[in-house]
Amino acid sequence: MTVFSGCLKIIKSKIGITIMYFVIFTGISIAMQLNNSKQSVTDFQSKRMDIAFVDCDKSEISGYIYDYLNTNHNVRKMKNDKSLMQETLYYSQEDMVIKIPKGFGDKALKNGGTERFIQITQELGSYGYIYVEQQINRVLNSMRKYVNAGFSVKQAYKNTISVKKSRVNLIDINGNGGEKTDFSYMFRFYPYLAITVICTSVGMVLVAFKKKEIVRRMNSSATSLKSQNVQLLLVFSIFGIIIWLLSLIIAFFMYGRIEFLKSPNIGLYILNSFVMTITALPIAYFIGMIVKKTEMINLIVTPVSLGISFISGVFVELSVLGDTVKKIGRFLPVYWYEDLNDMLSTYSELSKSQLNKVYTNLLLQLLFAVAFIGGALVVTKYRREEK
Amino acid sequence: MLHEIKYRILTIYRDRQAAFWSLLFPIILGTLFSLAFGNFGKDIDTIDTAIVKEDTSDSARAFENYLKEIEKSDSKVIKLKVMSDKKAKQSLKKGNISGIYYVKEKPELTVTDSDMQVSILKELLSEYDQNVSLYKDIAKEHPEKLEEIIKDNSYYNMSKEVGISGKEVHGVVQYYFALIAMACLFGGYVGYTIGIQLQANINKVAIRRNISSFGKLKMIVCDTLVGWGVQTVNVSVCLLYLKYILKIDIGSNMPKMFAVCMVGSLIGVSSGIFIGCLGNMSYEFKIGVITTYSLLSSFLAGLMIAQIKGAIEKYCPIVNRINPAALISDAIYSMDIYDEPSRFNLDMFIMIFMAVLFTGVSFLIMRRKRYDSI
Repeated sequence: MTVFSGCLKIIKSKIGITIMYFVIFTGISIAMQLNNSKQSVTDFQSKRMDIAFVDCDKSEISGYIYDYLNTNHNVRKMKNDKSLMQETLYYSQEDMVIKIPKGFGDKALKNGGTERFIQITQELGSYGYIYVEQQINRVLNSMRKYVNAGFSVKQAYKNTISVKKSRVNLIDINGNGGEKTDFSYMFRFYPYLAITVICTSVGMVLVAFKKKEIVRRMNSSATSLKSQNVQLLLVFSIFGIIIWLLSLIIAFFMYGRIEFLKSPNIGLYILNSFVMTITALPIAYFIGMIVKKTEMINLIVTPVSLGISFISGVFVELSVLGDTVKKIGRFLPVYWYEDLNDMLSTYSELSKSQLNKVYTNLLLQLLFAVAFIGGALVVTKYRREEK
Repeated sequence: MLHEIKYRILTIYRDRQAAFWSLLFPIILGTLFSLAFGNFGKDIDTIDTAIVKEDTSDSARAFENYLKEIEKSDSKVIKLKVMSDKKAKQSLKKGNISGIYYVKEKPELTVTDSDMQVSILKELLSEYDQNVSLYKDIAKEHPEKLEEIIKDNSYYNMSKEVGISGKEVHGVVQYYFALIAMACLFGGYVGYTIGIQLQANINKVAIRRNISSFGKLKMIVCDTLVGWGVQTVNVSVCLLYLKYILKIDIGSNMPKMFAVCMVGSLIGVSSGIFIGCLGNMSYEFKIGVITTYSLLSSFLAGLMIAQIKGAIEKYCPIVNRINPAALISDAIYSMDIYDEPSRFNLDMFIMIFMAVLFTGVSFLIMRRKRYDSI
């Protein structure tokens, strides 16, 4: 097992870089999970926001807006001072600043009089304003209709806020009260970690084997090409499995240990991530085969991993991506991983058709793995024939 | 000197790694962003919803008619399917529908999570509750106005999201600011190439350069200025591509933006030189450090998740004051949004300080290197 030992020695010499990549990208995955489980672009309901309220109008209606927001959120009044508003948002003292410009009260309840008039300012990248905007729109449109019918503004407000709401029932199908589990976010970011770390490390090993003297010695050795490839495959598989196990161990300790293992669909999550790891290995092998120099590895791995991650739903949820992007994503294995991960995070018990989807998505990932292995073997054969 | 400058520019652009990272990769990623975020804020797909008829009271029929009107409306926000309770719950659990409206005296909605589509269904129900209460109150106290109000389908959006100065902003632009910051920091690859080609113990070209008559200090200054100039051009190309080809609204104050990119590029290049001339670590390790440091900084500035910068500002703001990518993206954001220049000035001050620090330390390390034998 000379090739096997040789590979291990090369991996050992590059262990510092591998650990650095693993630690950094695991840290990034954890940070993403911590942030996403607090605020996702598709989840903006039922949160009490911290709001700074700037009332330049000081009318009866602006007072009602303040009262209404105050019952649903944590609202404090603020002076109309640009630098104060800047500071408030810059230091994240409040989630948003709502400004009622002067003249609002005169036109608020007239048809179309104050469309897009109230100004909501928040730090970039936040989505809480959508929910607050809905609430403001509902109250003002209702009040407008009451006033048009002949009610006083005060009565219109009282009637608007005293509406009895219909019941909304939640069927807890994912075992987490309708919320996605924290570890499902971490599994969502796993492909980025796996592809980057595995492709970089495996690529470095393969490039080391490309040195002319080494290639000539290996070609003239008694070890058959088949045996050499098997040994290489074995080393990379062990390496990939170690990366996968380390990620699982981290998830185990972070998400409640035994509770993590008892979570709904945890077996399928783990299987999905294992198949993703197996798929990342041929991608790494393929990249290692086409790259001739060490400096080219980063050149290819980082854009590939970032690009694939963006269009396959790793950083931006699949439901938010455009149809064109999803069509392109379907040609990538990570898309099918994310599609399955989304389903597992939504349903705790899977129906027969959903189980079929599980098998289909896992199989599609493995098919991509086979395709990449095929591609790598073609490149290897072509290179040997060239010589 | 001109001869040296010319060949340094050629050397940098002939280094495929430096050329790719600093010029092409930000453009590729920017294009991917515009593909990925193209659907943001645009029309939402029609929501498949079930209705379960539980009674035929007047209220139930009114609710059913309300839902059917919405289904027929131009917005096409929902698509209704009449089902039995059992079948509807099965469909809901399978994910074939997003919610179940129960058509009865007191309408109800059953859902399974709280995503955007469910929020819309909840909002439609709230809107119905509001209208029912409205019509009841009007029928009781001003019945003569009831017909007019029922016919009034108007619904106005009373607010808009704006920056402090009143200019409208779009949430995804944070990703592009972080991308520009990353493009600046990828000047580290250019800086690394420069740093390596000044060290005779590492690079063959450096051996020849060190024994030439061109003074070492001149060499270092020339290389740094050339690297800085090249990287500034690269980032400017990226900026112009985002603004004029992809038509992303990253701001209107282009001179200030170029100034930010110049300082950002210097931070990138000087950090690359600094890492390049640090010790005798392997090439892969140093390149790994530049890659992970650039990506980590950019991630913390919102490259992958836009909200992360805000979260850091809340819980650990010092990180945003020392993270070069956060400073660059913050400077670009604040120059157009805030009338007060204090935030922009603070960011630029810290960035210039960082650039000077990295450059100064790199100069000191390289100038002091002497070789007993070349």
